Amino acid sequence: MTIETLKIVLRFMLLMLIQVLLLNHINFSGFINPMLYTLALLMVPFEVSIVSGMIIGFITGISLDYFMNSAGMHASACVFMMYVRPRLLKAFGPRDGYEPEAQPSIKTMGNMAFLYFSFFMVAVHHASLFFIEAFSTQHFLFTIGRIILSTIFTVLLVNITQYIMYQSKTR
Amino acid sequence: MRNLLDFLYKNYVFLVFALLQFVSFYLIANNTYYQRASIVNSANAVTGGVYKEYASANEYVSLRSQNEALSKENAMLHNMLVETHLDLTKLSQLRNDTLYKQQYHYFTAKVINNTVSARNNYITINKGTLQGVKRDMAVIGASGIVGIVQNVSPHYCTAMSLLHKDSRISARIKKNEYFGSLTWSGANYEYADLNDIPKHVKLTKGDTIVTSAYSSIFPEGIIIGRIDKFEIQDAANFYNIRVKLATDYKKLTHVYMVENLLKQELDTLEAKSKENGNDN
Repeated sequence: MTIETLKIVLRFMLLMLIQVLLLNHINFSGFINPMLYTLALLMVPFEVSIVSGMIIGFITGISLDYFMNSAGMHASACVFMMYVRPRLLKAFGPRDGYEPEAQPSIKTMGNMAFLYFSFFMVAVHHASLFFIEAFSTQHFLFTIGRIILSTIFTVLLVNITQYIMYQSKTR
Repeated sequence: MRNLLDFLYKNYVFLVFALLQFVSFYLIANNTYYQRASIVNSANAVTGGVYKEYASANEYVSLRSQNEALSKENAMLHNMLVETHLDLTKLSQLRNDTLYKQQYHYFTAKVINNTVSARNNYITINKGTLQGVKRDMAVIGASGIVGIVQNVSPHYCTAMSLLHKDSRISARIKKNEYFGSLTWSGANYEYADLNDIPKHVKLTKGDTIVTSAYSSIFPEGIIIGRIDKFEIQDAANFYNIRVKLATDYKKLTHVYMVENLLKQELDTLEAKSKENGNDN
């Protein structure tokens, strides 16, 4: 239990540092900013309740806000994402239950199910983040375009990272 | 009472959700009105420290281009020195403190974090209150303006970049003195929009845009950029002007902090005349 928890906490810190020091400085065509740190929240174990999930999301979001000067924007988006998580897990998660301490991944859920799950989670996160960031409907189509493109890039990155993680473990 | 407790117990998931969202939005609302200091910012010991280590490791990559820019600027400054000019008049040069009061104080600083991709961009800088940084000081680069200081901690400060929803900079066209306000629409970090220039003004592509004398933050005549495109919509009285920014926000390392030594005097005077105006 403790080793497993430690691993999860380390994963959170590593992904957040990668996000802040590396990915925030990479912009495809100026405004697409992939958010790999959502992977840490996607992989929170199945059995974690919705309330604990939202609190974990809030802490993760507010830590990133400290780095990015964005006040509570990431916190709000992460809480929103963790609020819809149980519903999406019910829709895409394994039908016949899961082992204790299991985490959502391409291994436990299968490639396609995890792809759908990560897509909807990331879409909720990005939609709420970019609308809060713009805080108006002034450049509505621009914001929509930003949400769609960033979601595609984040989902790609999340699934590729998962693939690499489990590829290296099975070898 | 019992019903209330039942209600709370039944809906506690949603209540926790609402509470966390409320806290987030409270922080956001405190931050977006940019005159007030925000609680969550990267001018603190932990995040500032991480960014500083990263910047010091990253600095070597851009040493060559930074050196070039600095030596160019040095050459330009040398050209301005009194010693490099021949004295044709043989009259003595006056340099008396009682006649020339210094209004702006410049000192150098280094950018340790910077973004261009968000709707509201901030710059973290490695100087703080201990080095004399104050709120609302101007930040300029070698080639043009950069931003305005927002939050200050003992060793670091964060500045609101020109690339920000709330940034409004008083700018004028250098050749004919017409002034307007410069804003950023959020699409491209290389371009900003100049508003409020009336349609009878003659413009050409490539006109220089500089800061106006109406700002109590920026010194007058600092370069902002050049006109890239301009047009008038059918019934409008003002131009839509797109300005190519002189500063390359993608490679910002060494900047100057500018303090207006007479700012307080100016602000109190203006506040006073506003008060008097309201009385009448």
